[in-house]
Amino acid sequence: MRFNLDGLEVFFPYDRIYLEQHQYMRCLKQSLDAGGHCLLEMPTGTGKTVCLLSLITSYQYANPSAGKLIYCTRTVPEMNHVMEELATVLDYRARMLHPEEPSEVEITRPSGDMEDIGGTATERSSKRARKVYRRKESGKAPMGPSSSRAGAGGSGVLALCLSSRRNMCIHERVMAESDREAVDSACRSMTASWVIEASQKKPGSMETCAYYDNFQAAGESTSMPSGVYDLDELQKWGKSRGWCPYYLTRQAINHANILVFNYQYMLDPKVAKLVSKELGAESIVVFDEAHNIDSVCIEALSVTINDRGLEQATRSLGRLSSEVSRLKASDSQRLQQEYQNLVNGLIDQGLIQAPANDAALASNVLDPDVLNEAVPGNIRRAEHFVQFMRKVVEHLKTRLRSVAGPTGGVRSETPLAFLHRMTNGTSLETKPLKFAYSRLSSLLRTLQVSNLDDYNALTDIADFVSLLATYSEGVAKFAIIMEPNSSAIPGVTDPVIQLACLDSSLAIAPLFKRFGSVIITSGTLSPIDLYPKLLQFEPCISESLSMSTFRPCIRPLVITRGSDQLAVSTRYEDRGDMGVVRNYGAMLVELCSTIPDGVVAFFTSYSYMESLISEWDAIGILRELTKSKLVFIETKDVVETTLALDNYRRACDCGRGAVFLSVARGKVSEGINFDRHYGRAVIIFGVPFQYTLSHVLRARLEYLQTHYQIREQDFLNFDALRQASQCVGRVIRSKTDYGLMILADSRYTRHDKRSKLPKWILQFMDDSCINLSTDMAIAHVKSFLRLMGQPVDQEALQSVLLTVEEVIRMNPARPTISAGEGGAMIMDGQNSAAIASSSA
Amino acid sequence: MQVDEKRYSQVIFQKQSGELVLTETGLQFGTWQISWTQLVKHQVSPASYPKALLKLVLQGETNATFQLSNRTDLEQIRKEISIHLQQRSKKRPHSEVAIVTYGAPLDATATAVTRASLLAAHPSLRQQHAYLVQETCTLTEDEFWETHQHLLQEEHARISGLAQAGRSSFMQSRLPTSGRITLGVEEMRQIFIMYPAVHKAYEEKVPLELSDEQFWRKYLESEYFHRDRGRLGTVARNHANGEETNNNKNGKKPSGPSMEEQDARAAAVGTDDFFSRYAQKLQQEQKPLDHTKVGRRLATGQFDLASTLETERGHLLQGPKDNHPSNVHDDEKGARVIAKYNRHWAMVLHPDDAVAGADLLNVARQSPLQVLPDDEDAKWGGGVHREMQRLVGFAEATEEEANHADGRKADDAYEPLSLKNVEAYYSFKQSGNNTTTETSEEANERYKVFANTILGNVNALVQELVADETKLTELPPTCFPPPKLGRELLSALTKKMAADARTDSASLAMVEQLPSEFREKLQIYFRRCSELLRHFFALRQMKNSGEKLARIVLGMETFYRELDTMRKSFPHTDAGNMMQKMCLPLMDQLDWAFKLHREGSGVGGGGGFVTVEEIY
Repeated sequence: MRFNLDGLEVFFPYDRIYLEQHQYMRCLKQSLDAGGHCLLEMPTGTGKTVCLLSLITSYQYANPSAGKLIYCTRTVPEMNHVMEELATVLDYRARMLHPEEPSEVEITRPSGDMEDIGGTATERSSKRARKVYRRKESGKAPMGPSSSRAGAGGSGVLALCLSSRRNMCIHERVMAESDREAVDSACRSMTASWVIEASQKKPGSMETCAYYDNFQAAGESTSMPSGVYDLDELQKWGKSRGWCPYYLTRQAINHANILVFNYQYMLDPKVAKLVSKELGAESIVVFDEAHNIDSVCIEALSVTINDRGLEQATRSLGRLSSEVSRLKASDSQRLQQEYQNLVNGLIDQGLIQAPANDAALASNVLDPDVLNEAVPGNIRRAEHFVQFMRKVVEHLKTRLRSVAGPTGGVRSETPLAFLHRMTNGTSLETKPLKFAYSRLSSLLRTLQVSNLDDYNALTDIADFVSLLATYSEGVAKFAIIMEPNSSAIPGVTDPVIQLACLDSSLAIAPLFKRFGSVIITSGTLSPIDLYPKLLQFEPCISESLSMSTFRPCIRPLVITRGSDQLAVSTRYEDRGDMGVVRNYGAMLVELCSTIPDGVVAFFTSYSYMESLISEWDAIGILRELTKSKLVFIETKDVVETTLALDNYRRACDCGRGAVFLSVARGKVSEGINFDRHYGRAVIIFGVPFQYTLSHVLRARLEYLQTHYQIREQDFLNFDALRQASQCVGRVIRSKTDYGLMILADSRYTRHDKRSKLPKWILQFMDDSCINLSTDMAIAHVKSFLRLMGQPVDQEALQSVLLTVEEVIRMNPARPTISAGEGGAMIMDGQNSAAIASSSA
Repeated sequence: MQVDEKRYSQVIFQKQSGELVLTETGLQFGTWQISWTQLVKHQVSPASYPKALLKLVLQGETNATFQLSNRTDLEQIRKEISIHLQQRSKKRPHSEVAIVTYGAPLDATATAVTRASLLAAHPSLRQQHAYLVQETCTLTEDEFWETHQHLLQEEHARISGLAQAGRSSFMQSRLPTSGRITLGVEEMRQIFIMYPAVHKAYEEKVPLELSDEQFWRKYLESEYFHRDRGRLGTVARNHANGEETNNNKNGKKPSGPSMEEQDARAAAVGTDDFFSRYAQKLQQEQKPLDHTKVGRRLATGQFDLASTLETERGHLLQGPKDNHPSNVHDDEKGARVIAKYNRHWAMVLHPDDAVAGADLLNVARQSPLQVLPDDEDAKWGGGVHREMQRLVGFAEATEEEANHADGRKADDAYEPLSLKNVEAYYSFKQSGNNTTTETSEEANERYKVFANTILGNVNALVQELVADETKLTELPPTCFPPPKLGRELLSALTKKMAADARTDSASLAMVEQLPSEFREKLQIYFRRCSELLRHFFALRQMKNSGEKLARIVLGMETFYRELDTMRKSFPHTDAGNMMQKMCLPLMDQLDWAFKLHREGSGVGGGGGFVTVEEIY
């Protein structure tokens, strides 16, 4: 449908649209017009991504001066999904703008077009083959270079995505390495500038990457034709030209209209400089699934140092010093050159503007003087710097030992105090410490180190001291926490020093400052007024949309008691109680024997899950569970969990279903949709609070209280409830999908908890299902499943899926607003009032 | 997968040294040939034994023992022979190992035990049994059970642990910690898969050091076995970080293991527990999962966590930290349980690959390569586009285009015809017809005529076909009525049925009105009636069953009278009438049986179940 939204022509690739999608687009448009940031919450399963893409691309089309769209996702599968939706949106626009040209859906895909690009792996070819078949069947929009004259989207759009080398490389030997570090260092060993130089001087002396060489040889002429490129397409295109897709994409970023990549390319200062430094200020930045963005920001600036890391750093320093002396003997000119550069300051030295292929380890939160000033004299010489770092490492070791020692224990210090002790203990000055990070990266470059990951521990320490020295003054936005953690082996401690960032706005502030529009959106951002406080920005629009449905497809149930009427809770005092353990177990067994297909259960923490599971195993509950469902359990290992998940999917596809036991703050709770039969119910045992005795958390809570006036309990509740709603929100994908959300803890009945759930969940929560015992809940479950098993009613569906005419009528140019024929369950105050007034 | 020929030199057999050759057809030593079909099973000497011996058990109870030069050869030849034997057993329709043969008679004790346990487990069966055998003496004990032979066999199999291999996801390997334990083949197989340490111990100790029975006795007595069954109340201990939690605060006694179990455990503590040693050994041998070797595509679409966490700098993306300290006090018990269940699903989902000692993680890794339908949907929002298209299509569709059952726009005009949608299917075509002019009576008349014509035609055709089989291929075009008439008739029939039919909810509402006492009673009567009728019809078929049959009929008559009395006792209200009506079908069934009995009495069996002629 093509419609006019407050003066902007929007190309929306479907004939009908949901009311909340329209509202969402209007909010987006208003914030783009105002050139401000915005916060938008819209339920999962209502087509958020397609709205974002179709509105922003339409906006770009209408305003050629608007900058790039930078779309940040969390995972690689999400990125692929965005690219697919983007292809749909742009294909529709191209067809609307140039109706005379045949749609690309039919004309592309000649046989052999999707030939195997992996070459070696047979698994790849089997996957490919299937894809071809499916694409034909479902008529998906085309990827890759656009074949039409006007280019993709009818106006020559270039849309790219970027990932790590491991996902993009096409060099056979490098691809055989399968972990990220190995791929990175294998690539660097063939593409670093000194390697290229050496091989140019003496061809054949060094192995270089043919794809990279071709790409460099092509130089400025390497341009990409208009089109939508996902990872597969980029690899294919690179292969067809003989160009390295990774570097090609890195270069093409500058003239792409749409960029899709991972959060870290924007937020992690170590990577951000590589990628996002040249993005224009007028760009539109979108963070999708951004409910945890404050945690990501904090993680990005926090550093943890332990014994192992320090040992490794010592070894790295040893290696560095031998490298330095070797170089001194063989090529002292190079060191001299570096010295000269350091005298001139970092920018002049070219570190900040380093060629894209050398890993530039610059930080975007560095002090401005660090960027402009000359490096202090006492660390300019390489051997002096190595000595300097040795002192730092030794000092940290002493501190760590004292923490673990008999008089040790948990200690918390401000950065200033820590720094003070460090300068006293090592007789180092503060100023050179600020430069440690940049000086190290310069040295690594001079020494032509390609396997940078071997120096990770040392880099972390340099990062640690640089941050420490930079942020020691003024308000303490960091805390140093030293803990003698007990390790898995009893009696042994594994002490750590943590530099914990307390202020989440620190990492994201440069983005808010630099870009005109930053859009933060997710399915769960409630309570929405807390995010501006946490991230320190002023959104011009902040809106939480509810869900229009034709049937109550979500049933939240709050179970507060077991069948024996004893209250269940994971409260600290209660969780060990056998009654609670047994009641939770019986609840799971009964639910699993009632609910068909997949069931997902979340626990508050990994350690709680472990102990509960071993109890359940002991009293035979798990055994009982295997009678009705196959049991899958998340582990700490990513690969194992992935395998468990994939097999869970298979079990749901072909049997009585399965139950997946998982952790509310784990890997699974974030990235995966348990929609349709993959999850008919999500159960969450307990309220997923953080560990309130954690010292890092305490420091942060204190900081929030004193600086942002956010009360401790408020933040804890908010944090737990956003996690809980994230977990239960996994259950639904579209409006014909349905699912149960079971919150099993007596504390969920309390208003302070319940009110923090998103509006679209609350709208389905009535008083009859907020204080249930297990047996009452089972009755609810049965009636709900029976109701939802019925086919969809066409008339009801029509009432929520608006036609073009209805959309046109909603345009405020003519203020009569209609929300369809009625039957739409809109709970939004404004709209229902509007509907009432229009019908009256 | 295997080479055609494998040679092992320096093999000693009956003091002769020579070469052992494995071929496609069998084994060869010198001039002696053993074909794979002759071979029943093979055994190897345990690892602790100095000589590397291979024992082949052949058909006809003969054995052959070879001594190989070293252990690696022995391991290899063992694996290869296993592969050959496996292939051979796969060719057979079922593995013969663990399947109960139905119909084999059970001995007296087994029968009694099985019957008792069946009765205990099934209340309805118990009720029937009490009524038919004990109260009314309509049936003898054996007669009653004859009709439940299948149930008996299943129950017996369940009790003795001889469940069919790979049949259920139920964990067989979880044995009770006290009381009588019966180990069947399936239990042993599952124990080996679920606990690799036990398998390793078995391989090395049996049969040279321990006999089969001794081994299992040791296992059941070991601390390893008991430790894995958990202790109650550990959650409390873990979370109090060593503090004693106050379990008695509600005046409850701390729940702990039963006395028997405690005794068993106490006894286990002192015994030599070599299983734990093997478990430790295995753990040391096992390297931590090598992530560099696992490959890229581990799962489909969004389920592939590794695709992000293993490629990007993962720590930012793993989800928010909960900062909870890890469980260090429970000596990895939780981790063990989790590992066990994660082996369990692998075993259930990959039954063919799950063999003792297999690395199930490796097995599970194969699964993403096996493509399932709708895999595209499993991607992150993979089906969103299609889903939206479907919904929009359905909302846009006109009445005849809409497929209401699936909630989509029908892809083409064709939609499978069913009674439910027949109206929607034809109504738009008929709307212009002049059918409205005739009254319903006229139409009914017409349908009758049509129906008779059709019947006549078809009958004639059938007669003809039966008479002359050669004509089968050529059907005269006139034998069926024109399609238009057929359609009309069908729609008329459907209308009538729709008018007669009640919806489920209506009948449910009606039932809700009846007193619950009556409903329960009716249910019991229904079961009794069915049971009696089953016996009645079964006995009619058998010869020499006159006496029994008479008893059954007597029983039915008593029952009939009882039912009749109850029916008459209902008040003449709406509900009462309804209840009276609801008794009628049962009585009708019995009436029918009586009629058959009267007609066939003295003959001793009239042709069994109802035949079609008898209905009309």
